[in-house]
Amino acid sequence: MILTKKIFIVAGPVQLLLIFFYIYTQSICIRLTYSLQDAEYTLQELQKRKKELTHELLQNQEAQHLKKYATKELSMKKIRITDIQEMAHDK
Amino acid sequence: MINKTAKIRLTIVALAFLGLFVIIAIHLYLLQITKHPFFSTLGNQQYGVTIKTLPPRAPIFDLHNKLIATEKPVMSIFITPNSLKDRETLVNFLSHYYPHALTKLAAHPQAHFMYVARNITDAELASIADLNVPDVFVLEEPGRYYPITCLGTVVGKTDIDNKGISGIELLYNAQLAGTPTTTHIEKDARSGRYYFNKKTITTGSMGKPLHLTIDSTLQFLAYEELKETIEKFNAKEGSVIIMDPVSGAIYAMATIPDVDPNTSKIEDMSLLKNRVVTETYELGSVMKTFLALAALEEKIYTPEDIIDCENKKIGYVNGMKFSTWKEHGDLTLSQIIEYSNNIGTAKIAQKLGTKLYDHYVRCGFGQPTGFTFPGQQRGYVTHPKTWSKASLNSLSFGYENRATLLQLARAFSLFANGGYLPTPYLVNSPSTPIAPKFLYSPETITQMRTILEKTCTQGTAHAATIPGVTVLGKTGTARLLDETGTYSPLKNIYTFAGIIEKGPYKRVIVTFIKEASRHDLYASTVAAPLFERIAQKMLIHDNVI
Repeated sequence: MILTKKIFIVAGPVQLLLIFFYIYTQSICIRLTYSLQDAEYTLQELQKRKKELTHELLQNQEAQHLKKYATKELSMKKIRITDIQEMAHDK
Repeated sequence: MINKTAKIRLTIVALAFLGLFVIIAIHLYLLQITKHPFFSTLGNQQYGVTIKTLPPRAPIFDLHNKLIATEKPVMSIFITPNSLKDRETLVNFLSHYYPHALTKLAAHPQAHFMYVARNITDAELASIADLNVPDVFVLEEPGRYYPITCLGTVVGKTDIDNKGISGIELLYNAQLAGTPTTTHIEKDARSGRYYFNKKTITTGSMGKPLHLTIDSTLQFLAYEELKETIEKFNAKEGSVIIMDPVSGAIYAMATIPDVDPNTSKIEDMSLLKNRVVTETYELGSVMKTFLALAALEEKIYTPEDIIDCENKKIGYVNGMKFSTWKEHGDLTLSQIIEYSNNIGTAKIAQKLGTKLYDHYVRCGFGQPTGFTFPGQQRGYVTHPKTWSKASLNSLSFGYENRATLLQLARAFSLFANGGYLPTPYLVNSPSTPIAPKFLYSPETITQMRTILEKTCTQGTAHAATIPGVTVLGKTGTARLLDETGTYSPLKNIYTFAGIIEKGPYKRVIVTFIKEASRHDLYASTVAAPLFERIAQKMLIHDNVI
């Protein structure tokens, strides 16, 4: 009878402790999962921003855009083969 | 001691509890067993979401690893008809801006989801945001962006669901698209973007990028020159192809009219056609090159043999009447090609007979090129069995046979690579080189090279010459059939096929202009100067000069 009482006194808190640890570990897992998802979301946002910037860069690099800039802003002209002079060090 | 009454009472209470337990058990049975599929589905619907994720469509690169097609999200707007907050405002908005969506809404008032418009422009999106209609939502969908707008006819385009519908996008759709991944996510109603568990049901695969042989800068340079020529002559169409005659790699393939593939709503889909391969033409005098090739190979003539061209513009050969552009007396075979005399070529053809057909076929006309492209044509050469009295004459100066510009470029490669037909290609992929099959003797090829060089230095193609490089080529002016089925003097096409060489550097360029507003023009004044300008740009671009 005394032994059963002792076992009960010990087993009860141990079980409670185990339940507490289980809940604690589960909450850590969920928290970490949420952190991971937050990181995934941030990654998605950054990737989206990277794409936007890449498109902006590609638009600015578009040949038609460059031609307009070269001819209008820089007053550059078309080049012909006869315009190319061979330099002495090229020979 | 428990008396009898108490026993009865206890039994009743016990039975009542038992009854309650039985009711609970029955209820549980109904819930867990009988109605299991229903509640299980309901639970899954409330807490589980199955998502099908498409991998990003793989990019397409040019010869120098420059992006020519890449991923770009596009915006769509939608409504949820079964849960509208302000129906009146929405109806007003739809009737004003999207009447087709209003019709759809009237037909399906209880739908859970309905697109109003897809792939809308930034301006449209901004104006919708300004109106602030409560029941209109924005959805981001995968889309495509083409940084090199003049490549639309080659690279093609994807549709509203990001599937290839033309060009390379259509041809390599499966490779570029990849396969979707299906995942099941468990979440509760309040977790927003968070989930508890994520399970992959089917694992997809990423699309594989494509590397083309197209040089996007060269494409732009060729396109700009083509555009300028079309504007100058007020022509309806034009095309250019630049190809490596040794390997068959295509470096540029431009067609006008075309359309910017980034345009969200293309009204005329024919503007996406790559006319270099999808259209066939009766190419006219440029075909005389292959007539001369046949005559030399069959040893019927030598380049120096003299033929009487009768010194007149209207000739009769085999009883059939036809015209030539200028009177010439006695000309050598070489001069007949150089000056493009129809009477002389008809006389050569009469001597060749059905062998002319064999040689046209040997040069790849009316035959598949080995190149794959959506809508590609193979053209034809009229078979001797169906020849009329006029057929030999017509075939000699490029009628009664139709060819694509790619076939012409491929056939011209013969003179640059020693006599074989390369297999044209657009996609760089590791493949085992096949030993070339030489179709003509080196002697004939050398003779033809001399004739084609002279055509440029002292013949009709003088405008195509470039100082410091070897240019071989031939012009071709041809009439088009009108609505009545007769060759119209008001509708012409102008073609120039040429080869540029400097040391090991070799390129074949074909330039083509269709229906200029003036009718007194020749290929020597339209297509040959275009060739010269494109070739100059190409030589500077490729650091050859």
